[in-house]
Amino acid sequence: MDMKKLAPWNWFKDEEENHPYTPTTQNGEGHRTHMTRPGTSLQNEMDLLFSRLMEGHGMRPKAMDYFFGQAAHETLLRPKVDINASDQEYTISVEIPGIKQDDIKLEIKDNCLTIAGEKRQEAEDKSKGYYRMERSYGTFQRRLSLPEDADNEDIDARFSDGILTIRLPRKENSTAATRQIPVK
Amino acid sequence: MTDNKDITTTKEKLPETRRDIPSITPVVDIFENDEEILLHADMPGVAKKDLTVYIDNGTLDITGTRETLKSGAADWEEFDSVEYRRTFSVPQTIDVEKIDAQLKNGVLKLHLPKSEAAKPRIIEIKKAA
Repeated sequence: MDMKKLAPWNWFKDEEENHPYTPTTQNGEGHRTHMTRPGTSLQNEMDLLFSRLMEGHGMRPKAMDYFFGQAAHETLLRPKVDINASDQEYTISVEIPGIKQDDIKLEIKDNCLTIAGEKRQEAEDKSKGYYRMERSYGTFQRRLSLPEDADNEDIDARFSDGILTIRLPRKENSTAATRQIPVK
Repeated sequence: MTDNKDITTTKEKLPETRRDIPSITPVVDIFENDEEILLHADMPGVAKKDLTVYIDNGTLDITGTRETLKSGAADWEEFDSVEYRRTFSVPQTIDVEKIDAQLKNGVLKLHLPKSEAAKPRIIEIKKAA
């Protein structure tokens, strides 16, 4: 059992630290998918149990954060994200319908990927009387902490049918410099 | 003039048509002016070929499917493959022939023009002979 299995990468480290009022792991919106890996079912269960413990560890008084934090940041939309990992790359999909390609801002700073932008209502629509409004408008943002083996230089982003797909190749882990420490 | 109450949404689920894909209701904005009713539906991930807009006898059906691409093991999931499905009742005053549907950036824009007879107009007063 390696360390990675014990503590799965937390993509939402930054969001949890800087926006504690939007708990990412406890709101039921998303879930860590239970991967089918080689290993005994007991091992899998251990992993699952451990990741649950990890999630529970940083738990805050959710209701308080919700009431005090939410009001100030009401307008910030949090589009849904899917994250997939293969041996070669990470694929991040973000659900942002009705946004123009030019209105999407992607930034990487200190291994943190920020996906932001604004969903605007069209002028043509504003002139009409509305009968029903269910869609949300305003600025949106998601911040993802990138794993160490993600190659930030070779990032590729595409936008099609309202879904933004970001591909991040994974660096070869084995090539990480091994250093011999002399024992004195 | 159209009575607004004519457009009512029916959220109840229709019989499942696809195997294991969950059915969800897309969120919509509906606008109306004298000329037309304009409907916007958020359907991210749905390609043109996977979208059906069907109107018959005052009932408008929107159905679209999206299959999310999975490469490798899923690490985190907030959205998945779904079937978007929603049914509306539309007023009989809609000119079915002139309905225009566009799909762009995951949003369906449906223009439902009102028939000439339904538009407000000023009636010309003729001189009495």
